[in-house]
Amino acid sequence: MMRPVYVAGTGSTRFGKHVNTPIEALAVDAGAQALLQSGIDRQRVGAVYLGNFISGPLNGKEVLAGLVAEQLGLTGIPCTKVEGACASGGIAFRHACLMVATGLCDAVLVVGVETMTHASTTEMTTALNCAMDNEYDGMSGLTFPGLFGLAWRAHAQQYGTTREDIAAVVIKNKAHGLKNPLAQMGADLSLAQVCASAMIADPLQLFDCCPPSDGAAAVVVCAKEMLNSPQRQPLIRVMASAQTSGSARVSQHPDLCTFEATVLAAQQAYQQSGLQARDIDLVELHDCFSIAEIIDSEDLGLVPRGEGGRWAAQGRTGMQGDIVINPSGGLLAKGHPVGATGVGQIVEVVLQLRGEHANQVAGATTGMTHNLGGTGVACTVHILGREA
Amino acid sequence: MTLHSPLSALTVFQCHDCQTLTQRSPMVCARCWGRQFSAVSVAATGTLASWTTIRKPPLRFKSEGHYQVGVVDLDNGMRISGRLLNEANDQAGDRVQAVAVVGMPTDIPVFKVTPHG
Repeated sequence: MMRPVYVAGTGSTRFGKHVNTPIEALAVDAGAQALLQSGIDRQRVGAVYLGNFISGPLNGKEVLAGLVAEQLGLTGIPCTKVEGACASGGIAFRHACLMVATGLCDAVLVVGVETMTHASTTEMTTALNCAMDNEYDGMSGLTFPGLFGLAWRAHAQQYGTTREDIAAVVIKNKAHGLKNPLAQMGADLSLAQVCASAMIADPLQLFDCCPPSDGAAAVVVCAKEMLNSPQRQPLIRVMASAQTSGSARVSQHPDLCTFEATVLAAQQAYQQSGLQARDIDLVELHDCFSIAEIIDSEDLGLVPRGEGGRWAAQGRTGMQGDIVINPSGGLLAKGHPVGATGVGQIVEVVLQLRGEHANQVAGATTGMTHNLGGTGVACTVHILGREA
Repeated sequence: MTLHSPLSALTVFQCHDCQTLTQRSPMVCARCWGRQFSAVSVAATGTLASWTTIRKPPLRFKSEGHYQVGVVDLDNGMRISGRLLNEANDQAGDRVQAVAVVGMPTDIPVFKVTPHG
């Protein structure tokens, strides 16, 4: 049988511009924070999983897991770089959890890292498009902003979602980001400012898009017996870890308003945890674009199908809402250093459950993360809980 | 003005064993793992499911500047993505026709919204 998995330590750089810092140094910074906070001896760390997507094309660097482990003095253990486009970090976290749950390791370090801001927009778009099926959609010139432009039009057509509804997501998350010291781009935005921003992939505008970012995040997961210090109260337990896949081709999505991989992962996560959507106090979900938050909130069962836009506009997903979505600012405000994002979401939820977050959700005891890669080709959903 | 002419049919690929249709010839049929496929013609008409204008293209398409990409439900039931010769007031549900475009690779399907009515 699987044994329970706990988060013993977290670490993170600020997400933003770190153009003079090598990618492996960012990862080492976050990794060292997590290891020190965990209080776990390095000899007990049995593996390293590192989430990263495009260090090859944008930095000319690979074998990052081994590079980072060596610089942290973790030698001789399995070190694995995990790639699943924007879900790389979430997948790395899940695999670390599995190593502990199965008893193969007592403690595992997970790091997510990316550096992007040194690249031009064209270089970045080209690198990110590696996550598309380039024998199909990529050949037509589709990009990821384009994918969500398609989804936006479909959602507007099917459910009547408006520009104003979608702008409410941007305004909320940018405001949340102002309160988060780890966030790249919090802002106090008006509807007029959102609507006046440059068109990127119609109807998607600049403020509807998450900023490219540099950054790293890390967590140490472990078995309960490794948690022997009062410093680590309250205990944060991984209550569910689900990973699914969907089609890499937009043409294989019969409904452009949903990602089947998210729906499946959410179902599995609720089943594993024995919880329901109404039990979740906050969620850090994959708002790579504003419309994505609306779709994700529906796919995760947090908001009724088709109502995501209206819930955002009515404030029902804000700090005082029915379900608090992206109190960190999400990808839209915190930034999206692609391989780091999934691990960064875990860090955010752990801080919330410990009651230590700068934008604290009052009384939070259960939090969810949702990390989506490519056209929904990879997805992870995790549920974390605070143990009394 | 883009020079284009309507196509009478689009070419897709059909698995010999299970008859599944795919936009491109695969190595293996994902449904039955068959390995033999034939090129077949299907009607070049369909319905626009959604579309967008790409204003920040990747490197290989940068020289084109802005361009439109659409998702089309062909009349035979297949959904495919391709280029769209767009008009500003195109809408989901519009009827579309595949066209050949002078100067564009023939392996990218290109559609144009047909006049209403």
